[in-house]
Amino acid sequence: MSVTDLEVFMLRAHIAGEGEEAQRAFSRQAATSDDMSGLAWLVHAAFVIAARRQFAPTWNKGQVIRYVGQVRALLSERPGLLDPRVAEDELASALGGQAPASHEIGAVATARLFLLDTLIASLDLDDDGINALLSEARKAADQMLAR
Amino acid sequence: MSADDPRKPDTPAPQPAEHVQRSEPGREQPASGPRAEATRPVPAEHPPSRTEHNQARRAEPPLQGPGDAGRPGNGSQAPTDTAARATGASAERPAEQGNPPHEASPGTRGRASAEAPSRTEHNEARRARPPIERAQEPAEWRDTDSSWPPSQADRDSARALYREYRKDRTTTDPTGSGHERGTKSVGEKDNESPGEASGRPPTGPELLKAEGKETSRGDKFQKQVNEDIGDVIDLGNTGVETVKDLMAQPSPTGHPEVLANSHPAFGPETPQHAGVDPSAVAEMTLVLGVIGFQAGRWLHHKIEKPRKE
Amino acid sequence: MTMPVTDEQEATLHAQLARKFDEYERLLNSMDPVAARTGYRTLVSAAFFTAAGERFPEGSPRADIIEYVADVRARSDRTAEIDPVTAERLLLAVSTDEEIDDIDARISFQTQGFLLAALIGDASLDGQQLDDFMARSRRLADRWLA
Repeated sequence: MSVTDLEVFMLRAHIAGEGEEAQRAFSRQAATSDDMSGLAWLVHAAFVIAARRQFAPTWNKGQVIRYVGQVRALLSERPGLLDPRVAEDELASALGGQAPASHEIGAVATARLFLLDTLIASLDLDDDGINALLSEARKAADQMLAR
Repeated sequence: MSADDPRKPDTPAPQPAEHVQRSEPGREQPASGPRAEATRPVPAEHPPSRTEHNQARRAEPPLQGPGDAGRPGNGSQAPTDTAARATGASAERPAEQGNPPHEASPGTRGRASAEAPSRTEHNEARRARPPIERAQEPAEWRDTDSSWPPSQADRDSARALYREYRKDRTTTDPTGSGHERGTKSVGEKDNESPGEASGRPPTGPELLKAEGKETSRGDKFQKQVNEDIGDVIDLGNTGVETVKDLMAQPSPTGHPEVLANSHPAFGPETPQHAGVDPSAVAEMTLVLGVIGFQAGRWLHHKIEKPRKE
Repeated sequence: MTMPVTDEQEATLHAQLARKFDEYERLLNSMDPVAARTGYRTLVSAAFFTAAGERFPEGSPRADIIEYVADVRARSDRTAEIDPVTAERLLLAVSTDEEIDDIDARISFQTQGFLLAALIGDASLDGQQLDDFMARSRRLADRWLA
């Protein structure tokens, strides 16, 4: 089991703001495959890699709280989009902090995806940079899927 | 680039989608009067309404003062001390009408009477009667406290607080967001609070509207204080260290610095990856594909907008 | 009619907001616990309402409140325990029609107390300004108690 090209395409389309394109690809894959766990691992891997780059070399809890606060402020028109506790815990965990408390799966998924979006913006990655990130994330995700 | 900043370094601060003219931040909580949060008790003896009072007054002989003869009746009633204080703006009306504050209007029919009381006698008698209750004025607005409107000192104090806050927000802070939100409307000076933009105090209707909202918002908190929460002293003791942290100057940096790559990102040794439930992964994928991607376009716009500006 | 705020209750909160923490703890622990459940508790809430209304008047962007709460919570491990959504909602309730009756009263009171400390701490009031603020808050609390 490994991450598919379609899953990488979906995530790249989403990052580029082409949500409809991403959704169409998702529907296409869902129709032909029972196992789409590659996408979840790909998103998680990309999120961790982006977080560690953004907060290198050191981080502290206060920076994580402020970062999540700034992201939520940016998205303040839709206050329910990003759960602050979940986002903070996931970000701290990605940076090597304590394992997050048990949160609702959906909130974890959206926190990782939306934080990935903002982290890519913070890192100011161009298309090549995004492709490189996704390539690195794919390798890491494949390792997890192979277990 | 600061680890704290989700935007490009040269990106201007994201602006609120709509800027709403702020009401004056120096709004004071008056001791009483129209902004009274609690309902005042209604007097046991209900005073006459304005209509009843005017009818009674018309039945009385008119006043005779210098120049009163021939003056047309206006039926208006100068507000008493209490009524004038109840609506701050209306305190101006007697003066505008040419009547000194808190004195009875001159009396106005222009009909002479050999036995009419003098102006002084009439005024004294009128002050002895209960104050007029305006039909539209809620009972709780009548008050004897003189702390409304807020004193200039109170308003200046609140504005000074706001200016201090604004000054702090514009100071470069390497650990902060590096941007300022909530820009003023056109015409507002940097050292003015939003309510000062036009240089004029709010009008009576503006004050009344603001007060109505403020009362109902205060009600939300007032309602909550009626709920029992147990030992308040114990709560105070429990939170004292947090309070000290909150009030420390400068703010504490109590969080230890940690290396970003001190632990492996992936693998079975990472607690969150050990024993991952496949059904959880499947659910996560579903959420990503349906909800996540659906929000993506809007999210992208919000993130990219400040980058492009 | 409930008893209005007492001088001791006002002095207790005043000491805290003036950063006289030893005096604050001494006064807090000498308060009548029964009276404190109403008078002191109402005073804290009224003071929060007053401070929040001055700091975030009507029309304040929600984004400002979100960032402020994040800044408050980021100050220490202890402050990070403050629930962000509760804190934001309480501040929003002062300047908008946000409802708060579903928030647990104990958590609400505690969060209001923390936010009050942050708001006044950040305002850096001098002695007279703090006295004036306390007077306004006490008047409001007395109206709520009446």
